[in-house]
Amino acid sequence: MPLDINTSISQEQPLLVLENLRSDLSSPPCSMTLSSGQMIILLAPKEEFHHALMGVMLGLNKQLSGQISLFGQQLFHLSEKEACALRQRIGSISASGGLISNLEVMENILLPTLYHRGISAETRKQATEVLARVEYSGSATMLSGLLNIFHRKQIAMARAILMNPDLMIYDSLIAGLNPEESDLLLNIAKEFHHEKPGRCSLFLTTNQALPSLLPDAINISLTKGSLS
Amino acid sequence: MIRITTLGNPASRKVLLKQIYFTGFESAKVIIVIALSIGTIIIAQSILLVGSGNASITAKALIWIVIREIGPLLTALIVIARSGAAISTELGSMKINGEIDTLVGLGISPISYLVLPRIISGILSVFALTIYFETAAIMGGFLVASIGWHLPAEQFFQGLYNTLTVQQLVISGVKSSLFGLIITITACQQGLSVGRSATMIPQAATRAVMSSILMVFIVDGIFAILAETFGMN
Repeated sequence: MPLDINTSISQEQPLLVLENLRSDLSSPPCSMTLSSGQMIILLAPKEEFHHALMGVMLGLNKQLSGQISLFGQQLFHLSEKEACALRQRIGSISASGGLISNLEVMENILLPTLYHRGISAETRKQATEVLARVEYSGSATMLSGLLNIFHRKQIAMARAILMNPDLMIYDSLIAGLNPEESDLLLNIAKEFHHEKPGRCSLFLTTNQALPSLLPDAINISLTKGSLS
Repeated sequence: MIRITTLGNPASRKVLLKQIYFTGFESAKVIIVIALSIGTIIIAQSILLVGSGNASITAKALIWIVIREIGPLLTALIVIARSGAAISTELGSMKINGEIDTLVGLGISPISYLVLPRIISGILSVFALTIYFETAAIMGGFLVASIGWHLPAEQFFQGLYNTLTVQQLVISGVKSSLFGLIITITACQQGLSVGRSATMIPQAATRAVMSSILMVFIVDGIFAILAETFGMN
C-alpha cells in the first residue's frame, strides 16, 4: 500500500502543459496538455528526443524554446526549494531504471521517502509490500548496480509507488524487456494509474507497439509536430 | 548555499555515518602503522643526534615534528590518497551514470545528500585521524626508544610535558580540520565536474589528488608563517 499523503489533484487545472517546447536542436516543437486522470503515450521518432524531454520535465535541463508548466507552475521560474517540492509529486521511471548503484535495493526504494518524510516501521512494512507487489524476486539487500534491467525497473517502480505521486512519467518502460516482463510492468502501471483520483501517466517511447498494449491511453506522435 | 541544518535530514545523516566509517575508521589502521614507523624514525634520528642520555630533548624533537608538522600533514596526505581519490571517482561515476540527475529528479539535493555529509565527515575524520597519528607516533617512538636505547620514561614524559602546549594542540586541530575541509571540497568539486565521458573519471581523480596536495602544502606553509609571525610556537 502506498503512503497516504495529502496532495490533492486539481480537476480543472492541467497537470502538465507543453507549449511549442523544444528540448534539443533536432527535436520538433511539442505542444500537449495532460489533464487530470489522463494516460498519454508520447511516441517519439528517436529515444534521445524523449530522454531530453524527460530531462526538461524534471527540470534537469532547460528547454531551448517554448514553455513548460507543471501543476500550474512555470518550472524554470521556481526556486530550488519550490522545484524540489514539485518533484515530489512526480514519479519517474527512466530507461535505465534510475537507481543509485551504491545503495541496496531496499535503500533505493526508501531513499526519497527517507529524505522527504523520514521513515517508520510502518513505512518499512509498506516498502516490503510494494516490493512484493512489483513481484521482485531478488534479494532486498543486493546492491542495485548488480541488478539486470528488469529488476532495476521493478525497483524504480516500487520506489515511485511508495511516494504516491500525482504524475507518473515512464521513459522507455518496456525497452529491453521480454513480453512477460513488459506485461507485468504495464499492468502495474495501469493499476497504479487508477489508484489515486486524478493521477496522470505519461509514457515516453519509440515503441510503436505500446499503444496496442495500453488501449486506454491517448496516443500522441511527436513526429507530427504540434500536438494536443 | 550549504546549510548545516540539512544534516538533520535522516538520509544525509546516514551518508555522513557511512563516510565517517569509510574515512575515519577504515583509514585508522594504516594511519597508526605509518605513525608508529614515523615515531620510531624520529626517535632514532634524534638519539643519533643528541645521544640516548638526553631523553628530554628527544621528546621535544618528537613533539615539535609530530604535533606541529608531520601529524596533520601526513594524515592529510594519506586521506587524500585514500578518500579524496575515492570520493571524486564515486561522484564522477554517479554523474556519468545519470545518478545525480536521478537524485535531482527525486527532489533530493545532491549538495545536501552527497556533498555536505562528505565535507563534514572529512573535517571530523581528518581531525580524529590526526589525533590517532600523533598519539601513535609519540607512544611508538617512546616504546622503541625505551626498549632499544633504554631511554628513561620519566625524563621522556617530563620533556613531553614541558614542550607540549595547548596552543600547539589547538593549531594542530585547526590545521587538520582545515585540511579535511580542503580535501573533501576539492574531491567533491572534481567528481561533480565530470562530463559524459568515462575517461574523465580518472582525470578528475588525478586532479582532485594533485589539487588537494598542493592546497594542503600551501595552507601548511601559511600556518607556519602565521605561527612564526604571531609567536605561536
